[in-house]
Amino acid sequence: MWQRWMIVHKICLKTVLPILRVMPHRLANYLLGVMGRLDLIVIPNQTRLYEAAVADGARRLGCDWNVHKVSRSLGRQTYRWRTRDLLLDGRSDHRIAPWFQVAGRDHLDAAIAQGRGVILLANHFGAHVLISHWMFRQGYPLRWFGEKPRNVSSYLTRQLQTDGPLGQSRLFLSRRAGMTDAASSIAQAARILNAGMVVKIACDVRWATGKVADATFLGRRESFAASWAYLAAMSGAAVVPAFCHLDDAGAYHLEFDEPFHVPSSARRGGELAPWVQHALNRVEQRVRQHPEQSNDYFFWEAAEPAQASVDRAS
Amino acid sequence: MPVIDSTLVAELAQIVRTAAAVPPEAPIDADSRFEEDLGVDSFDLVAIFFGVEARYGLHIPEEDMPPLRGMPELAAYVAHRRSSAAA
Repeated sequence: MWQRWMIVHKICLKTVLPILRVMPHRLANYLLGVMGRLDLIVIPNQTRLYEAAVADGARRLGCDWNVHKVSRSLGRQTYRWRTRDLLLDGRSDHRIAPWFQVAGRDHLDAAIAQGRGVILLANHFGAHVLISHWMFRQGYPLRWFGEKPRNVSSYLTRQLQTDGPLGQSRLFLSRRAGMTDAASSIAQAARILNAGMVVKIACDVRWATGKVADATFLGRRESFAASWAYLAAMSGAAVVPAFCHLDDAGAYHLEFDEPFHVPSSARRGGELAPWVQHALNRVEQRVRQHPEQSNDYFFWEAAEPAQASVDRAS
Repeated sequence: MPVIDSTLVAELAQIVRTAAAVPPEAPIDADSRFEEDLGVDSFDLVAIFFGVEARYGLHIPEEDMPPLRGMPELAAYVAHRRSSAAA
């Protein structure tokens, strides 16, 4: 069922995106919200599905959310979230600048100025892709460490096609990669950090093998990739947690938190786990504040088998 | 064909043991496989490569890394690189 609606969403978006892109951003964003609300009204059981997901999230986090209200807000965000940064294609830096409200840029700049590289600690909360989009537009030397993103703007795709010793090409990981292939990606990430550049890594990726740590996130105890913490400990790079949420008026609120460092000693003896938990706690705090920005998390269980079958088919 | 002497193997074994925190009771010899015999993961492997780079003043390009799956390949690779550098 989830997979079917993923495909429907994709088709709807492909159809309307060319029209939305020529509209004023605020209006385009409003219409995406309307599409999300229509989903809940038109699709049988969709409201019940959203309310169940939100109620489950509230129960796990011990939050006293108004389930009905949050579900409606979450529904409005569905298409906005799926649109990622696609509305920004073809628009100038000058044109999109007012859509971003950035807090803590001084944290990011101070971390870069330390000269030992920066791990941009990312997540799947809110409009997370927009952080990278904004950073590229601002000229930050950014690389992605993780799985290759799908359904992102042509602009972002172009930025992620850099080659060479400090390029992007080897940094895209696959869950099916062998140990030595993964090692060459990690080595390149370490060299990029040593060159003083920024490497984006998500802290909320569930992973089973290699450098992982058990942590509690959204009321579940699971195994998460600890690669970011290991790379931070190995390289001495500063870690800057970053978040982005999208408001109903279409503004992207970027936040760069204060940088921190993972000591070199954390590489040994299972000492990565507290750092992984620390990072996830920060994300969870955002989910508590903005549950309507948590489309990725509330439907994790439903989305993953569906995504796996989409991957197999493609 | 570069010579792989026992001194090189011993030095590499020490690098591997330190970088990947291989316990003292686990033997590392010229035939050890990193993943299967020593439980090394991809991050440990990077620490090994960086340790080798630091010890021998080499740069191991990322494209050279995938075939280096155990002590035989690593020793042959380092011996080859050192002999090429000396020539």
